[in-house]
Amino acid sequence: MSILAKTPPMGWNTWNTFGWNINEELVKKAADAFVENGLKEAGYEYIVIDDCWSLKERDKRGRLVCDPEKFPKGMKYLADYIHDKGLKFGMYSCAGTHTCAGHPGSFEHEFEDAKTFAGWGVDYLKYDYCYKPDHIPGEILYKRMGTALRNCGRDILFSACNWGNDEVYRWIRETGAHMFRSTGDIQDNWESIKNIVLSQIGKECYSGAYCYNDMDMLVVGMYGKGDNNAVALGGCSDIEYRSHFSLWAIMNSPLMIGCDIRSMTKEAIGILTNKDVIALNQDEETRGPYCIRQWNNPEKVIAFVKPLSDGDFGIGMFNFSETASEMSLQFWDIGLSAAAGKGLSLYDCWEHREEGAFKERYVCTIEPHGCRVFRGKVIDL
Amino acid sequence: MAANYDTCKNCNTPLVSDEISLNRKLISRNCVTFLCIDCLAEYFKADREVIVSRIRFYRENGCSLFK
Repeated sequence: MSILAKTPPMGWNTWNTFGWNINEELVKKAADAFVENGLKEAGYEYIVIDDCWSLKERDKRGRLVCDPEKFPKGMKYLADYIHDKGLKFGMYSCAGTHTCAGHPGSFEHEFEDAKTFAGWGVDYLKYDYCYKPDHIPGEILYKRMGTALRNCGRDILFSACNWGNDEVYRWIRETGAHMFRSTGDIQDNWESIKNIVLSQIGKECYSGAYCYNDMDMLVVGMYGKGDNNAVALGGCSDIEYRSHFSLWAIMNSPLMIGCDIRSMTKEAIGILTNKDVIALNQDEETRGPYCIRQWNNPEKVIAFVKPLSDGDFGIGMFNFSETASEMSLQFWDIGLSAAAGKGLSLYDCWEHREEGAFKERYVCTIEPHGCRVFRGKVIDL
Repeated sequence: MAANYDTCKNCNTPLVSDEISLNRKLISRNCVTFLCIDCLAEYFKADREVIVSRIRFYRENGCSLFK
C-alpha cells in the first residue's frame, strides 16, 4: 500500500455543475479538457464522479451496479480511459443506507463495495453521510469503510464527507480518511464562501499531512451556472473567486474544482492554475495556517499565515467587509521581532512580482471581498 | 448560543419546518438558530423565488432533510 495524500488532493468533481445529470461522455470530455486546459500540468489529478452513477437497486448478489444508460461501457472502461491520460479516477458512495439522492449506500456493504471499487480501478472514494442510522456513531461507519479501503488490494484515497458533524475533526484521522468535509455544503455565493471560512477559524490545527480539512468543492468559474440547482446561487465575481481559491489554498483544503471544465473562462483558468498560490497549498510540510485578525477590524479583515517547509511564510490577507479596508500585518505576530534585525521580502502571488522588503510590518488596502497573497522570505536588514 | 426553532433570528417571523431544513442545507447542518426565507434571500443576496425553488428541488431529488 502506498502513502496517499502527502499534500492536499487536487482534482475535479461532477456535483457542483452537473448534479445527477452525469454520463460517460461527459466524464470523458472532462478528462480531455483536464489535459487541454492545463489543469493536469498545474497538479490536478483526480476526476471524481459524485452521486447518481448507480442503479437504484443492487444486483442479486448485493453488488452495486452502474447505470447502463448513463455509463454503457461500465466503470472499468471509464477508469481505464482516465488512467490512460495519466489521471486518477474517483467515485462516490455513502455511509448510510442510501446516498443523498436515494441510490444504494454502503451501510453494511463496506467490504463488498470497496472490493467492487478496487476491481473497477477506482483511486478515490467520496463517502457521504445521508441516511445514516441514528443508532450507530458516524465514527464507526467511517472506520468500517476506512478499514475496507485499506484492505481492498488497491490504493484508494478516502474522502470523508459528513459535513463537519459530530466533531468529526476529533476522530476522523484515525479512520484512515485522507480528507474530511468540515463544513456544510458550499453554494456558488460569496456569503456561503465567507461562512465556510469563518466556521473553520480555530480548527486549522486539525488539518495536516495525510488527513486534510476539506472546505468543500471549489465554485471558482461557475458564475451562477450549472445543471445543479443545489449549488448555483447567483455566482461570484472574479475578485471573490480569487479570494475563495486563495483561502482554500492557504487553509490546506483539498482543491477540487466544481465548474464545467469544458467551458471555463480565461479568468477561471488563470485562478485555478495559479502556480504560486498552488505552491502554498502543496507545500510538502502541509502545516496548517494560523489566523491573525486586523486589530481595528477583527471580524472582517483577517490574515492567514502558513509556515512553509523552506522557512518562508505563505501570507494571505482577506477583506470580508463591504468597503476597502486596511490590513496591517505586524511581523512580531509571526515571530519576527524588530530586535532580530530581520524583515520579510514579499512576493505577490497574484501579480507574480516582488512587492519589496519590509521591516516590522506590512500595510496594504484590500478591496471589498478581495485578497492579497504573498510568499514571504525572511531576510537580513 | 441558545437554540431557537420557533422564530427567525433576524426578524422574529415564525418558522416552518422547510425553513429549518433550508438553513441546515444552505448554511450549516449544525444550525440551532435559523433565518426565514426572506432573510435567507437577503443573506445570500438572491431573489426570494430562487430560495423557494430550492425547497421544491431538494424535495424532488430526495434530499433527506426535506422528507
